[in-house]
Amino acid sequence: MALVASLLSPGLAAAEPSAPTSSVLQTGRAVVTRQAVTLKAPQAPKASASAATQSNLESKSFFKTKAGAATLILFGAGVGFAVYSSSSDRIRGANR
Amino acid sequence: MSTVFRACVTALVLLIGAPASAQTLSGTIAGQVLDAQGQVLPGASVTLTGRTGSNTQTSDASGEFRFIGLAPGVYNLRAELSGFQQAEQTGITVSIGGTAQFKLTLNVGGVTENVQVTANVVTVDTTTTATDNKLSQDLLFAMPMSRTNAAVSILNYSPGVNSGSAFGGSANSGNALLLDGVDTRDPEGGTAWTFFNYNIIEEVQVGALGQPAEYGGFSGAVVNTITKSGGNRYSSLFEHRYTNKSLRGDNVSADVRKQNATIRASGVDKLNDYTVQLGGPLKKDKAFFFASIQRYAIAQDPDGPRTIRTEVSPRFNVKFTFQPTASDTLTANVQYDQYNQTGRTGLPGVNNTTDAQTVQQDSPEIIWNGQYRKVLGTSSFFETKFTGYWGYFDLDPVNPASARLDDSGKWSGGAGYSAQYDRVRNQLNASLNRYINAGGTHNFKFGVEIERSKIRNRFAYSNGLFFYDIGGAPYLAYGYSYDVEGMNKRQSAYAQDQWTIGRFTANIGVRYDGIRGEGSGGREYYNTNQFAPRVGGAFDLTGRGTSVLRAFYGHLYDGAVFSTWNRAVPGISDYVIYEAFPGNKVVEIDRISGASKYTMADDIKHPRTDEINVAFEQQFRGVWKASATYIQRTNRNFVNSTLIGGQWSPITVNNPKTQTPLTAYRWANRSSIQQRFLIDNVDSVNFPGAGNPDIYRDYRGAMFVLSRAYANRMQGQISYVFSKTTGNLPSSSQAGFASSQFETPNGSLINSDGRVPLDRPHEFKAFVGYQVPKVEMAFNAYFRAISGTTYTGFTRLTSGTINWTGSNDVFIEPQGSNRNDFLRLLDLRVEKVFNAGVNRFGIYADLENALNSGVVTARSTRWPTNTLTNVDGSRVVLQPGYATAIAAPRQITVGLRWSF
Repeated sequence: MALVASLLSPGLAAAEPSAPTSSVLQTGRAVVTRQAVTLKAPQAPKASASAATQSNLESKSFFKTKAGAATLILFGAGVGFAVYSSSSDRIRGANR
Repeated sequence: MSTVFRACVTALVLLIGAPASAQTLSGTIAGQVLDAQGQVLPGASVTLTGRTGSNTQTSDASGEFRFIGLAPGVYNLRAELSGFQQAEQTGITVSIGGTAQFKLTLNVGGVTENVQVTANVVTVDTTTTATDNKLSQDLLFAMPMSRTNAAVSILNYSPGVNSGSAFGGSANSGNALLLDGVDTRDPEGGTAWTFFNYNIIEEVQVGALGQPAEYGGFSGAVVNTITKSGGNRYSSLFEHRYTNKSLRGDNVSADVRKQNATIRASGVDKLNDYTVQLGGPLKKDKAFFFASIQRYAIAQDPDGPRTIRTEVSPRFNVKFTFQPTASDTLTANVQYDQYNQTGRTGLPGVNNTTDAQTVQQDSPEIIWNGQYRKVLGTSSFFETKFTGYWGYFDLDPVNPASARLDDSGKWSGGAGYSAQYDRVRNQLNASLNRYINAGGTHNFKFGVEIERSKIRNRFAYSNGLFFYDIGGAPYLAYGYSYDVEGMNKRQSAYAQDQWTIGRFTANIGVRYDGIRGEGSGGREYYNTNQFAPRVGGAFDLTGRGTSVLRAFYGHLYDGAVFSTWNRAVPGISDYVIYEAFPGNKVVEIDRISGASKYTMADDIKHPRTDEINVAFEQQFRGVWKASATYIQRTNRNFVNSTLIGGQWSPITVNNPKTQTPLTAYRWANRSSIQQRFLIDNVDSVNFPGAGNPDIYRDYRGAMFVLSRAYANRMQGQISYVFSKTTGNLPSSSQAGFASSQFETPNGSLINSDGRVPLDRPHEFKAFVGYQVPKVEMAFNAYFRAISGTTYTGFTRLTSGTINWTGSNDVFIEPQGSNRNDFLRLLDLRVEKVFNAGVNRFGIYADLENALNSGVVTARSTRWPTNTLTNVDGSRVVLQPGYATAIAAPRQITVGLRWSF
């Protein structure tokens, strides 16, 4: 975690507070929306950010930032190990 | 437009003739643009912006607009008109099958002045009879929910659903389990077959009550799980979860230990579970990707002499979304996973299987889903998809030697068997939505569904033999195997309308399901055709869209399952009995034909549930919503087997509990007829000489739900369901089609009427979450307090007593006379959150069963006693009422995650 955090650019770290997420529980087919209040997100996996940061996330140049590089490294490592596991952990049925 | 509409209808008609269950995977945003005086504003430009781009419409002569066929997610809506200020509504959540209604008010002013609309936080859908429960991605992200197997566990978080039984429905075949519209059930028995990563879920809709005709194949609930997709913005998630046995509690009380020394606080010894995800644009507004990779490895200390049971599964999910035009969306997604398991029990069973007598499991699978959606203006859209999965699981013994059971009760040798189970499921679904203004507003939907699902099951004793020894020396051996196969063929079609006249909306629909079951060579064994009417109404009580009164009546039919007819197909070997000699030499001494003794009734009817519900829903104070629902469900068309031509005579046996006479039944004409069975509906089964019980299972319930949408750092839902499930055919696994409960009168006539095992009179569930400001610590809790299941004392009557080919268990007291302890279980998540721009970091701890409750969940029910034989030959004698299972102990799992 500390490694990942250290890879973040100062610009990202200084970005505006996150917006709240959409509501979470709905009964019935009613659609729940949220207020556009300006609190920090308690559990926002898709939090918004400043226009500059949003723009960054909408461009391939994101991957040239430290955060983008960390993303690629972690993602690649995760894929790689899962592929390795597919081969090394396989229990093949005797009749296949 | 009309030409395209006609073409689509024609395509649908053509599809009906070929092999198609079309469930909604999209939602709608509709509304009206008004000025400050409430007058309609035609010609306003209304722009909807979502994850994959923007779409603009012009408000019509009534000031109305409608965006249809929207993928679930969060959207922003903006209205502009020359001479007026802009109005914008942000953060609109579109859910599966939902319609979000908005009135956007434009004030006079320059267009450059932006007005942020903040009102209208929660809306009530006043046009549908459906009462659903939705678990959003945010809730799933925050709450301490069991993640080990989302396909199996997630259903039980909804009000009215426990142990897989939804509102009294069957825990096996009663629920439709859909992943992006793919029916992921095992076509043999209807239980979950494919597993998936909890973190790929965008939203889960648990639909049960008042469902429109487009939903079929269920008599309990429909679990509609939608997976994440890519968008214009790169997004990612990295998570790792870990636990081990030092983080597990011990919840076996001294009293329980004294009753049953075999009970231990078993659980997870070690868990390593990681997920990496990345999604984003391939081409802005046009093409998107989402990829998720998971590997989890879990080691458990199972019950009995086994020391370890492991599961390992690497899982790969990839989804591509293409939008060649604003009105065309193509989606293709694939899951591949390679689940394996070691440490499964062999023939010696839980109490006697050692590590060397286990089997290991190989079970790869591929799930596929291709979908095309065409939006035709503001009034029609067409969806079609081809979905399915392929997979198998093989069970192979660690030790290939035959299993041996000694007369002392000790087991030796290997696991004793190997097995292969193959499945392929293909589905083609197509549907057309059409809005028409004629005597009000109609929202028509027509659809067809074609399903073909294959099942093949193979089993054989190791080396073809299972040995029975006496004093350590070979005495007898048995030979047995099977290789059975079948195919479910289902054609379904439906038509439904939501017809809104003023404040009232009529929901009218009908569904057809034609289900055939074919064995090898195409021989037909099962053929049913059923029409299910669904009618209801919804009334907007105030006209403000804040309260609705709903009523519904409809028929629900189970999905197509092989287990209703699989005992009638060939493929079971003869059961051969040998005399055994040293060196494993054998000589055949007897042979019982494996030819099926079962035939299917010609006029069999498919299992069905009739539902009536009345609901009231009210929004208040912006973020709160309360609902109250009365539910009545009556199950019919139970399928089971009965003895053909059987005659019965009453006998008197001793009731070991009360020491009073108990009437049981003996096969009276065994010498004059062959033992053959008819698979038929047993609702009005007749046992000549014994009686004709009225077979039924009824559910009555009242459900109250209070929910609070996220605001001010807090969210929650509290529900209470008061219910009663009575009958003489349980909703648990004992209600399996192959239970043989009706082959003699002893299982269905004697004390069988009462509260079924999964009857839960009181059910309280609460999700509550709060994030403390400044320190950014999030506390999320899931608490449930639920009545225990019922249990009933029984005694075993020997084959000689009842003149039958096996023993019978009979109740010695009315079913449901006793109830297990009231469950009070609390799961907690405590998370420290770090926000850095778009990045969110979290370090959390999940405490499952945080209070380490050791509540007893099952008890011994055999009278006068039940004896367990341990691996060393020692015996444990259980008195009736002694504990046989308790809740899983407290387990703390820690996790790290980074998302943006």
